[in-house]
Amino acid sequence: MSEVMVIARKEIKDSLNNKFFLSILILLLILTVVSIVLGTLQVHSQVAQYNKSIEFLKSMGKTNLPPMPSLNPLSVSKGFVNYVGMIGALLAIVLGNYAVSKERKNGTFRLILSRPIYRDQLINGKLSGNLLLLALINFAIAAVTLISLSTLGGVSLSGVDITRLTFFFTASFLYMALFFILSLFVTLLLPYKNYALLTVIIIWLVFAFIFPQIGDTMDMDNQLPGGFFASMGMNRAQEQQIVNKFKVYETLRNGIEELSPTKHFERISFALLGVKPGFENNTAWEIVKLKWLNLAGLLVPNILLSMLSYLVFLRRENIYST
Amino acid sequence: MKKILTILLIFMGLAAVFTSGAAAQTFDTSPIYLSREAAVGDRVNYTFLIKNNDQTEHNYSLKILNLQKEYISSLDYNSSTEAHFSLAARSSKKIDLEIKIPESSKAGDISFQAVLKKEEGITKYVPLNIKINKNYQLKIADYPRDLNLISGGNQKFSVTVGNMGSETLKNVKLKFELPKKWLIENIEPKQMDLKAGEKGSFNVNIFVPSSQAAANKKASVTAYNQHSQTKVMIGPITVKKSSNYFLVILALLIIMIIGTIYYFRKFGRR
Repeated sequence: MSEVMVIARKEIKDSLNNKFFLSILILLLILTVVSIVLGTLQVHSQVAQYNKSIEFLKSMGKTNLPPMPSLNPLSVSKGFVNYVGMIGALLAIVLGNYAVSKERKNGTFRLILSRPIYRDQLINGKLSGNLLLLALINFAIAAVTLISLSTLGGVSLSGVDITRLTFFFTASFLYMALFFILSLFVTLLLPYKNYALLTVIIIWLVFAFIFPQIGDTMDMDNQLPGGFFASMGMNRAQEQQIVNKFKVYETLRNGIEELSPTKHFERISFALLGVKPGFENNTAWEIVKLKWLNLAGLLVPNILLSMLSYLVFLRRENIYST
Repeated sequence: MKKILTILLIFMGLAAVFTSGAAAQTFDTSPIYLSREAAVGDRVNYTFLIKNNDQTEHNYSLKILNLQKEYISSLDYNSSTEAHFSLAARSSKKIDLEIKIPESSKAGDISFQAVLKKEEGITKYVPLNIKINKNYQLKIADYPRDLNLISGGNQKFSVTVGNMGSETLKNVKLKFELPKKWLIENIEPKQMDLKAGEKGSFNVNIFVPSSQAAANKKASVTAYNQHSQTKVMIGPITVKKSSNYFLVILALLIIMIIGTIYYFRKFGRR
C-alpha cells in the first residue's frame, strides 16, 4: 500500500509541475469563478428587488404580502456544467496522457518496475494520485460556490441544497475521472504519445459532441422553430399518429444519445441544480434514485476502463517505447 | 321672471353637485354584460374599472355584497370581500374579482352587488347576476393520483366520469394533454352516455417513448361532450428508466470482473 501512496504523491507533484496542465486548470478556474460570481450577483439582485417590493407594499399598508419567489441559488453552477463538459474533460485527458507518456519519455518505467512493485500497484498509484487531484479541483470549486453564495449573494443554503450541490460535484468528478481513465487506457494501449492523445481527443469529440448532436438532429421536433409538428400545421392527433409509426426510430435515436457520457452528466446535473423543471420538490437522494441510469453512465465506464487498463498494462512488453 | 331664474339657478346648482359626484369617478365592469351563466365548479371573472377624474387623490373601497364568502376566490388577489385602495388624480385602477361556483350550489340565480365607496361617502352600485345551470354537469370522479411509468413502456389506468346534472349527457369522451411524444394507445370505451347521477369508467392505455428521460411530468385529462366539460391534472407522474438497463450494466460488470480475475490468475501478478 505504501508503494501506491508514494506513486500517488509523485503523480500529484508531477501534474502540478506540468505547465500545460496548469494553464488549462487556471483557465477552467477563472471561467468557473467568473460564472459563479456573476450568477451570485444575479441572485443577490433578485433578493434585493424582492425586499424592495415588500418595503413598498408595507408602506402602502398592505398586510397580505407575497412570498419570496423561488430563486434557485444552485443554478449559479449551471455554467460550470458546460465548462466541465469541455475544459474539464480536456484537463482530464491531458492528465491521463501525461501520467503515462512522461514515464516513457524519461525512461522511468524501467526504473520503477525494476523495484519490487507490481504493475497493478503502479496503475493504482497513478489512478489514486490523479483522481485525488481531480477531486480536489472539484472540491475547490464547490467551496468557491458556497462562499460566493453566502457572502456575495446573501443567500444561505439549506441542508437539501448543500446535499444537491455535493451530488452535483460528485457527478462532475466522475465525468472528469472518466476521461482521465480513458486517456490513461488509450495511452497505455498505443505506443506513441501523440497518436494516443489524438485518439483520445477524437473519442471525446465523438462521445461528447457528435453523439448528442446526432440525437438532437434525429429528433424531428427540434428541426424547426416551434416544433416540427406545429410548423407543419398538424394537430395533436396527427402528431400522435406519426409518432406511433416511429417507435423504432425513437429507440435508436435514444440509444445513440445514451452512449454519450456528456448527456448523462448534463441530465443528472440539471436535475440536481434545479435547472430542469419538475425536480423542485425532490430531495437529492430521490433525484439520484430517479436518475440512476445517468449516474451509472458515468460510474460504470470508469470501472470498465480501469480494468481494461490493468489488462493492457499487465501483459504489455513494449510499454517502455516512446 | 325673477322666480323662474332663481329656480333655474337652484336646479343648476343641485345638478352641479350631483353631476360633480358622478363625473369625479367612473365605475365600470368588463365585460359589460352583468348577467352570466355558469355551471358548478366553473370560475366566473369580473374586472372592475375605477377612474378618478378628480383633481385630487381619493381613497376608495370596493365591497361585494349579498354573496357568500365561499363563492369569492379572490378580490384584487386577496381572499377577502373588500378591497381598499387609493387613486391619484386622473388615474385609474382595475380590480379583478374571481368567483368559483361551489359544488354545493343549487341551480338558479344568485344576485349580488359590487359597491364602490369613496371617502366622502359617495357610493355607486353595480348589480350582478350569475345563473347556475345544473342541467349538464360533468365531473371527473376518479383519476390516477400517483402514476409511476417506465419509459419505453405502456401503462393502463382508469378515469371515472360522473354526471352530476339533471339531464342525460351523450357522447362523453376523454382527451389528454400529455408531454411531447407520449401517446394514448387506446381508450375503452371511446365514448359513453351517462344518465343523471350515473358514473362510468374509461380504461386508458398510455405509452411513454424510450427517449423520455427519468423525470417528473405533468398531464391533464378533460372529460367533455357538447354541453359540458371538466378538466383535472393527473398525477404526480414519475417516469423511470426500465430495469433492463440495470441488468445489462450488471452483466457487463460481472463479465469484466470475472475476465480480469481470470486474466490475473492465468498470467499471474506481475
